[in-house]
Amino acid sequence: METNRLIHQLRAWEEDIFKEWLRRMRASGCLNSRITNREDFSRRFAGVIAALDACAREPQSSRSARSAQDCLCLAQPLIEEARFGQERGMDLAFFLGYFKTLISCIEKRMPGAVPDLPRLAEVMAKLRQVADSMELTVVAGWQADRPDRTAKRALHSGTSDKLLGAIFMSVGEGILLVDEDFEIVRANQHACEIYGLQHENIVGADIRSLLEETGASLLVRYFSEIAEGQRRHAEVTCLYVDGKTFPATVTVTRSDLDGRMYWSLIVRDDTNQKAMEKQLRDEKQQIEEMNLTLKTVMKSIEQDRRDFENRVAAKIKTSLLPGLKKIDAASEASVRRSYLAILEEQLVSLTAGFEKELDPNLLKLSRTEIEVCRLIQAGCSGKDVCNAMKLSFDTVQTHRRNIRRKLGLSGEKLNLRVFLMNRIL
Amino acid sequence: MWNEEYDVVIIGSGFAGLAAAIEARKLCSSVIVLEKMAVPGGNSTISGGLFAAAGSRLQARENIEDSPELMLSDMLAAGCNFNHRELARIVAERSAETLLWTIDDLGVKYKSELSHLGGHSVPRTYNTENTSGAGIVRPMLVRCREMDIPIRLKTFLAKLIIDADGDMEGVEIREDYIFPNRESGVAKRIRAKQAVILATGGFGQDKEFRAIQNPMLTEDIECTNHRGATAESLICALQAGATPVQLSMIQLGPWASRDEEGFGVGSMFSMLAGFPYGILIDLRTGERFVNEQADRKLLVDAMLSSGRESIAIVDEMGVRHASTLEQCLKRGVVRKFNTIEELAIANQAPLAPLQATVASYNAVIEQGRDDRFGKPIPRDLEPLTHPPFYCIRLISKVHHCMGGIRVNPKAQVIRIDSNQPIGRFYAAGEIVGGVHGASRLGSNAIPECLVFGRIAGANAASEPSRSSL
Repeated sequence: METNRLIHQLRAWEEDIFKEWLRRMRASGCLNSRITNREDFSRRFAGVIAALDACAREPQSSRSARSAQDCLCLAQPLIEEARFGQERGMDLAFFLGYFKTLISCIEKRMPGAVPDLPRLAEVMAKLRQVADSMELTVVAGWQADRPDRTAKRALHSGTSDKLLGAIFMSVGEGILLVDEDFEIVRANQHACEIYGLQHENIVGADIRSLLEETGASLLVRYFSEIAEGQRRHAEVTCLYVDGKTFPATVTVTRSDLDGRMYWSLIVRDDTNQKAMEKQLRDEKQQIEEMNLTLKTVMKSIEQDRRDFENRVAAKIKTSLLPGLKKIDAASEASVRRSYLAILEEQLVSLTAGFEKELDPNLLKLSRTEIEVCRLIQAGCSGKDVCNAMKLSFDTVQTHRRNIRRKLGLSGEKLNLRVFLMNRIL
Repeated sequence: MWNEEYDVVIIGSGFAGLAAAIEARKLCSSVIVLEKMAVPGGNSTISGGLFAAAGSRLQARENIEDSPELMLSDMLAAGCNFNHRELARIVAERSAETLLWTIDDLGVKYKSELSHLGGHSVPRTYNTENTSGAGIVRPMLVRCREMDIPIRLKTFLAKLIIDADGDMEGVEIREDYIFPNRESGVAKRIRAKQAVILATGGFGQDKEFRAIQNPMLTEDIECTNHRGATAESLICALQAGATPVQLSMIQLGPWASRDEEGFGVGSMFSMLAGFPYGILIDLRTGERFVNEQADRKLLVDAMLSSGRESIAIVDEMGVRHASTLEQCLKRGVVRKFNTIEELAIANQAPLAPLQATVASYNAVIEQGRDDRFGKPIPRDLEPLTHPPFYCIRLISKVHHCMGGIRVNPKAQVIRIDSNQPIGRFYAAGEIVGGVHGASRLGSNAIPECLVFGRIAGANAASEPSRSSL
């Protein structure tokens, strides 16, 4: 019962003991607001009290053969605290000062807590023993490496780490930190956005699940090949959360921390760059094609020019010269005028681009027949032609027959007007 | 006046929003999903991927008798009958068919074992293969891509726009928005020819808003949600005339780890192994204090009372059910000890009472006797006798908002003044209030979101189309 009262009383005095402890720490110039905070103190105080509780309850075993072992067990929470402190960058001297002061403060209070406590000396001796064994273990273990914690320590964030962390998170390139299990242990905001994954989803994911197979195996090969500090680039295809793929450039660097290997990956989404590259390639190809087309066009223009000249020469020979001869032979002025009109149109058409065909057969037609043709071409019916030329229907029909014969249309199922539409008269 | 026009406009890209999009797109030609964050999926994708279904294939295989009525009665019991019963019934009734839809239509992969979560009468919880809601969200995102449904990220809902007849006509948004800067982005207006669906989730991360609803939820209480789970869209809906329901009913999760932020990997460890197969003790006394399989509200109330420091302890047998164990150990969220003694020392727990607690708990299980806290003793529950032992330090974190806006069974949002639906306005998912009453049972959120998301999507796309501008 007395021990319970002792423990109870000490717990009730926690605030006082804290103040006393703080005063002594300040006096020894060890005050550091980051490390001597109330919360940590409270936890460590609870640990010491728990150890004290256990000593007080088992007075018999204090001199037993197992006592060293027991002490170690009792000191365990404090040893844990030591490791915690070490991870936060506490140095050994400071840590021991912290606890020695704490234990001394508690000891000082103990006699006053329960005035008539039997075995008080014994309990105090045991507490000392616990403190000593803790000290031994802590000193011995201070430098020892704890592989299961190293990762955590490496990534533990103090103030400057926090600043670094903030920079890391906000960098405009995707950054992933991968451990030996290919697990992503850190990812920044941009990396999350690149893959469309929330931070909670990307951390803990296998890096290979974010890449297409060939890229994944390439990366894994790089992981095994590169030495610390070395850098490699890879162009890979990555997977967005909805299964869409995108091209990316990955820069891999290896950094070793506390005997473990980590790879940092800088990931750049190349979708835009690839798109621009493609656009450039397309444009280049288009220009080349255009160049080719232009060459062809130039050639064909040259060809056309030659053809044109040839055709003009041919036309002159086949159409104009016979016409001139006919004019020469024609005695009547009106007949000559008619032939001259044809020649004139043919000359005009030579320069007008040959939209309509010049038909040498037309020159075979008589003046009246040409007149009839013109009317037909203008869309006149047989009756209209009769009226316009003041000819009988039969005469017009005869003219039509002759025209068809001279134009080589006899027996053809071709409407005379249709034939004439494309021809120059 | 309008910059763009779609048949159906959906706000939010979680379970409810994506389910709505997929159903709507089957019936109309243009659907757009707007998401304010830079990545899709919200809380859904970081959730544990637990899906409760009454009358599933795995239940049939295990000869577990279950029915929508039983699921409904579990929901009402946990919800203290605050539930809007007709909505809760729809979730229970459609849970199994919706589960099948995810398997047969979306191709979601689940583990072959059912889990028994606290507050459920029988094991009825499916686990996604990767122990994450991403196991459902990803196939949905793939489907959206295949169906040509754009998901526009970094797009913030600034205002819901009502037309002259009082119907929902569209939304004012900020494009290229950078969370949480309200001034960022460019204002635009998108018109909905058929309807708008609000599927924006809860407000667990909105410390200011949640403290207004429940002043006990002070700023220092952590939250399992993603950063974007804030209240702006709820406020937009209220401005548009929606009816608020039970906004103060905000659930804390009892299973989250003290040693990591947010939902983390520890929550699933507690849910799948720590609580069903282990014990929950108060570090100060070394004793149990509650039925570990109670619903979340009872657990949290017990854990928060008289400043308890809770840890869950489970042995090698029980830990086999914890699919996130490896990650938990790697991140130091779960610690492993060869003996109960070592565990007690490391956690500064009084050894003798703890040993006594374990012994009496084991006796209860071995004898199949009634547990004094009322923990159900299923056949596969083993005593804690197989070292090593694992423990997780627990802290309650804000997890789910049971409250929200009121909808009818068609998922139409109900106007506060007329008690009639607001035309062309639907809502689904955590933004909706009343389904779960005072406390949501674990693994009931996914069926709720998917069931009502699909209802909202189908009904929204069946609205008569307005003429184009």
